[in-house]
Amino acid sequence: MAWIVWSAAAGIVAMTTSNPFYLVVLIAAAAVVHSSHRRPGPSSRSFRIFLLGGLGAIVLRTALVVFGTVDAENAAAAALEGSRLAALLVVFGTFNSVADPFGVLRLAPRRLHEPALAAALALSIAPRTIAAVARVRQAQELRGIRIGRLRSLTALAVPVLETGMEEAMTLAESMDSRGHGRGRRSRYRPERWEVASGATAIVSGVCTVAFAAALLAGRGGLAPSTFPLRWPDVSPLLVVAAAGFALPGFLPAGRAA
Amino acid sequence: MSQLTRARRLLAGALVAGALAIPIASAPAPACAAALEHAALVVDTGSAVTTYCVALPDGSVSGIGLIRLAADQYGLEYRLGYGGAAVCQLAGVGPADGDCFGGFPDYWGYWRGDGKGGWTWSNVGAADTTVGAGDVDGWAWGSGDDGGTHPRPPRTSFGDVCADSSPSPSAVPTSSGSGGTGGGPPLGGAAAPVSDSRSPRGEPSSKGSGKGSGAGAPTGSTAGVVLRTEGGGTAAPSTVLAAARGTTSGPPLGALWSLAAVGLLLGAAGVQRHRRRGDPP
Repeated sequence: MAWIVWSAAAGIVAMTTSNPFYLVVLIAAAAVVHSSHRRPGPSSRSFRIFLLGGLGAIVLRTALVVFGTVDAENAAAAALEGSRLAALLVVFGTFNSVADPFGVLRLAPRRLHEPALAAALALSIAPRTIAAVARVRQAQELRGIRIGRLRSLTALAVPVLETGMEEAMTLAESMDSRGHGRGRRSRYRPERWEVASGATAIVSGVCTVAFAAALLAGRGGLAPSTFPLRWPDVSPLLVVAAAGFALPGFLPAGRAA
Repeated sequence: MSQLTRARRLLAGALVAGALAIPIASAPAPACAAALEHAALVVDTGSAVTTYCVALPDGSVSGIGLIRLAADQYGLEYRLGYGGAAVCQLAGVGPADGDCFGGFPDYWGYWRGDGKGGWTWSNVGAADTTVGAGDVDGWAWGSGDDGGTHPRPPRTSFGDVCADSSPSPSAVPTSSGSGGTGGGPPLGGAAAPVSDSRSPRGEPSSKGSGKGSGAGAPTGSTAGVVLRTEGGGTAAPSTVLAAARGTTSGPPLGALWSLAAVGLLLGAAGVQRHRRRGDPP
């Protein structure tokens, strides 16, 4: 599953730097991947939702400055932290949009099955909730309930939570009935690891190594100085490395997954 | 009614004008340098000791504020972390990634002059100290958890750094002053490198040449560099001077790369989206 490698690598890169000139390239690369590989259905909306969440993170983090000393340096430091979080959220949203979290489960070694199940459930919460919200709102609209009021929020929350609970139970039951957790899983549809997957994984790895090397060498302006506030260095090589995460977007769709 | 509001407006205007006038009036005229108060800052990177006689426009600042003033007045290169409360880098020494203890066990130890040339370890962070006229602050790079083990800067008294603040600013250039690499006229009191062979570490022989009055920098303030010989050190004091001129403003060239990449990628995303829309799902 090349998407796991891709998103883990992109997430690591997002964590190594708070330089906005790299982060914005990474986000753009994620947008390319999303727009060429998003799966049909409501889960592809998770990209936009996480993008908005990322913007919200930047705004919120910057707004929190008012509780401390308000000056350009503190505001810039907060905005940079926020943008790093935003990049992480966008990477996660892209993963949700292009990959099937339960597909991850199939790949886990049998010994690691239970942690993998927990991880898959956690990973899939966002897309499942988004899908559930979409369904509930549609049902409410059909019944003439006006959306957008504060009161309709409770009317929305309860069925969404209920759906989430129900889905988790259904999943657990279905997995139980298929012999999960008892050591007799069948793999009747093994994952195929194709050229595109390999290229995605390798390029992601190389790009991450470039950032890790820059981090260890203390070069490339990965952590821009905000005290004093200064324009960060930008290495063209690292810009290319960040753009490299867009590569799977140019490979044939449906293969890399 | 309208008269009342008008009177109020006038009053407000007068108040604002007064508030603006007060700092202008209280700001010391550049001519009488004696009116400016100074504090001494000693930066010991382990291979070179630099001293700065920092003018205090506001009478007193925090330890961090003193570093910032030294950066403004002499181009001391610095970088802070933890919300501007901790010192990561001074004179190019220290971790560059915003984690001030990334170089642990080596870090910048904060010392305060005891008034007699010696040092006491500060138990308070530099953001919370008060540095007034005549005070001496010291920073030393090295390891050690407290004042017992951490290296301390060489003995320095205020008078060593700020040559007796006589009314007439000492325009005495030091012996080997001609500091070839410096040459920065915007730098006010240029630092005068003095080799250590002449003055062993105890005596910071820095009477930076306040040659005339540098533009912008307060007259009579000095910075001096003392190189240590311990490591056979020929550490160039030019780093301090170069830093002063290196503070360019404006985005770096690499930013163009970044923006170009973003433009390309977003264009590609748009094309992909368009292509997919054409496909039957």
